[in-house]
Amino acid sequence: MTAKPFEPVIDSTEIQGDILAGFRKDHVRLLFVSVADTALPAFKGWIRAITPKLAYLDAVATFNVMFSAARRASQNGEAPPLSATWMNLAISGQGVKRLLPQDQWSQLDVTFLDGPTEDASLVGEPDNGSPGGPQSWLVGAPSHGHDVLLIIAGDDLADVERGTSEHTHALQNLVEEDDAVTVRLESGNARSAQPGHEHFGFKDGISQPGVRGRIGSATGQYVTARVLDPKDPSYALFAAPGQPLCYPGEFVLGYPRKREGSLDPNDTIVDPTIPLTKNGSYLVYRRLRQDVPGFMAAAEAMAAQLSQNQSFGPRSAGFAAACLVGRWPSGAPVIRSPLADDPALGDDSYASNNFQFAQASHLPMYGAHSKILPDNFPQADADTFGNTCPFSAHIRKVNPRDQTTDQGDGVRTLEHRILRRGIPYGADFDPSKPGSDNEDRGLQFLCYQSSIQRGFQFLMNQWANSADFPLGRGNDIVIGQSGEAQRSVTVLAPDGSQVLVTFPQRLVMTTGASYLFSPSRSALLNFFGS
Amino acid sequence: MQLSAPGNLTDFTTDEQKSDWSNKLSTEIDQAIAGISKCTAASQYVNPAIVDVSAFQRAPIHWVGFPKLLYTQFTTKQQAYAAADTPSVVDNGKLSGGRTIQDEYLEWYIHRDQQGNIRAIDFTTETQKYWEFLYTANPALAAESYSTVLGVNVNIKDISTPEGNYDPYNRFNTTNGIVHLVQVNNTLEAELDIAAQSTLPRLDDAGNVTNDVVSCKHCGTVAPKDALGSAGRNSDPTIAQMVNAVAANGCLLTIPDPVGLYIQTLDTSGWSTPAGVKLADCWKIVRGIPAVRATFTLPTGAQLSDFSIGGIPIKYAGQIAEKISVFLTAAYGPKGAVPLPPARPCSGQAEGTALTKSTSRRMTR
Repeated sequence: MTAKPFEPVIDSTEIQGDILAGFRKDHVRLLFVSVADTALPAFKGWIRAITPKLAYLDAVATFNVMFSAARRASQNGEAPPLSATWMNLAISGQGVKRLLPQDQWSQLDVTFLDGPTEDASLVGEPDNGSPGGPQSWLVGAPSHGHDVLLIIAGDDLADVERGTSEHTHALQNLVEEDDAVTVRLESGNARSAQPGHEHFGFKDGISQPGVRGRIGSATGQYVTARVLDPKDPSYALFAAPGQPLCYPGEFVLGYPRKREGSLDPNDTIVDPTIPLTKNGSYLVYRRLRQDVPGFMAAAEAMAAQLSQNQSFGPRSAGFAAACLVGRWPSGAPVIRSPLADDPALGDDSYASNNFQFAQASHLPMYGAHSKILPDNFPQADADTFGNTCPFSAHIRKVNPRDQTTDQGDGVRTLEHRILRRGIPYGADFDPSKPGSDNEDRGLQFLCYQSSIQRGFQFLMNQWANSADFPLGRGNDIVIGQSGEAQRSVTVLAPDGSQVLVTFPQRLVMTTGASYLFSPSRSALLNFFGS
Repeated sequence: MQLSAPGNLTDFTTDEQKSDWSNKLSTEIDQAIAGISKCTAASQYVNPAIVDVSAFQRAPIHWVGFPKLLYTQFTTKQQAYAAADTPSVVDNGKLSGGRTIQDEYLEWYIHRDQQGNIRAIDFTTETQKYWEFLYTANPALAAESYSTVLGVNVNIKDISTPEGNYDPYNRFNTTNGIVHLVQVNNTLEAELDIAAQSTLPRLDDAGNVTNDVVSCKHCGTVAPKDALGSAGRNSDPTIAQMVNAVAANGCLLTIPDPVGLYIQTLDTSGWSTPAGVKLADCWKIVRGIPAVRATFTLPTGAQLSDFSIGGIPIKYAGQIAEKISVFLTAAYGPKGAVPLPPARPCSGQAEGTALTKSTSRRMTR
């Protein structure tokens, strides 16, 4: 007998807003703060003072609804003149050990406490001492840790810069002693040339898991809006086409999450929590440097190799790149547009995520309230064997959707979803500009989960980095890491023959990392700030 | 062609034994094919002893070696590991302990010292079918092979029932060691059966073609418990879905020689070892190409908890099993070689419905 779906009530005034609602801002500043022992008492006061100024779920979710409604109402779909600047605060493993007594911090997750240098090789980073290993990280290198991360995110650049300057100044002058509090600033901005696209040129952040639950009360708004009509066969399990509903405990501590191993998506458990951990979430930060010319060259080389296969015939670098990502630059999924980009499909946020891998897609029945029109794009065929969208494609590696995996039934993938909050950093690559290829650019990657082991660590170790998963078709070339070893993919040609392509270099390199805990408002006041 | 022993093992001492094994395995495969013959005019599953599959493409289907079902039965992973590590007990011919729940075609035996500390762990994917054959062919050879595998002296009597038959629950394969799989679902027949049955196109309850076939009834039967495999395992759903997906292309397919279940790899990323200890010196493939047996041996003076994965100390053998991939190989020929039979309902009720283009819309069963 299967369990019935239910909607937990989410404490909207306690949970920091970036976790479940997402700030969704064009400008993000990340202030990694390190505090000397002598400044800790003052720093606790600073935490107490800033806690009420942080943005919590109620405010962020309300704003996001208003913003989306205004955008839909605008004539051209452009961003409405609504602006907000939000802040959230997260504490590192080093930080909790310095701010809390051991009997308290020891209640937190061990992977978080150990920090990202401890499991670096597990998630595929080169060994310490090797080029690109943790000792070379710009953020979070061994012996160069930080205590907290203050996230400042807003729609208006000047407002964000002003807030960043004010808070940096306040922190640096928290005590009279020089350098007792230091701030490492990392920036992220939507790319003006291609908003919503990362530096390789692909639209990012399209597919996020839906989150079950209602905000604040049993009649409050859903955490994730439901757009399907109850008559749609996916209605009970999906918020939108291709967006499965996960229980909030996958992301926030103290709420139901799917029981590991269960075949029933509504079979849930609640992990025990204490006031310190309840309504908190673990935040993974990765500073990912992207080698844009390297990616372009790799796509060219891959295209040349694919083109040598008679069944493939001439293939472009764009086709090869789409094979690596699983989407075209517009966001159109390869599985729905196998041979060329379809910008209109990419612009349709619902159609571009309406697909599975093992089963064909179908035309969704949208609820009347959603005011979403059905699309006319060709539906996706079932692609269980990876004939259309390669198994090694990034979007398929980290989210196999309905496909069975080495973990068994596809429903288990719900146990390994994360809420991504990435934003690009650095200037666009400009081949006409001398030195542009050597500039530092990439993604400030952030993601929330209730367990780093089940979330980020699992996705990297078990799926992205595994050349065996699935069917031995190779690595996730986009985010997968394999130390300094060569990586490869195997792509199926139209006649079913296999083309093996090797990639001698990493195209995305970790240049900073942090494991953090994003506490509740009460935990900040009663534990970290007390 | 003559089919090889699993893992290309070289236990056989006579050509007759080699030939007999090949014939026996070929018969097993034929039986699996016969199981679907009433549901398709031309079976897509072929016998590699009869059909030349040397030009077929290979696809390794792999899964995690730790039993997933245990995650759902216990509150914490530690409890699941502990349950899987429970020592075997044989009482009146009935086996109990961790081996009865190690159901991912990977079973293990833990060697402990007098203090109860783990000193070594033997992992195997060898099937009972193979060892029964060895015993039947030559009991002395079976005992000798036991001795070779275990490094201790094993006599025929040690592995025989009082009636003189092979005893799979003998102490050298249960309480005192491990030579082959004994969990009831970890059988070669099950592997062949699910592979052959999964070639058939199936319809879900809504009448749509589905490749989510592990829970479908066997072709032509309506027995309530007669599903192709267990949806709750890591292995069965993956094998069933992948085979079904390949077969949907109209390919001939098979599990090629050497037919068997294999240890693919130990994922060593993120391991920390005691000072001066190399993981490669602890983890050894000791039998078969591909591997059917591996051993994790602790160096003198080291405890298992001195090893960690991603900073988490190892306490249980099950944590290592969780890092072991088990696999079988599917081999498939060109697309469109065989016309697809009509899709049959998973329920096993009404049959012969015409193949439809639409497919299931469910994310899960």
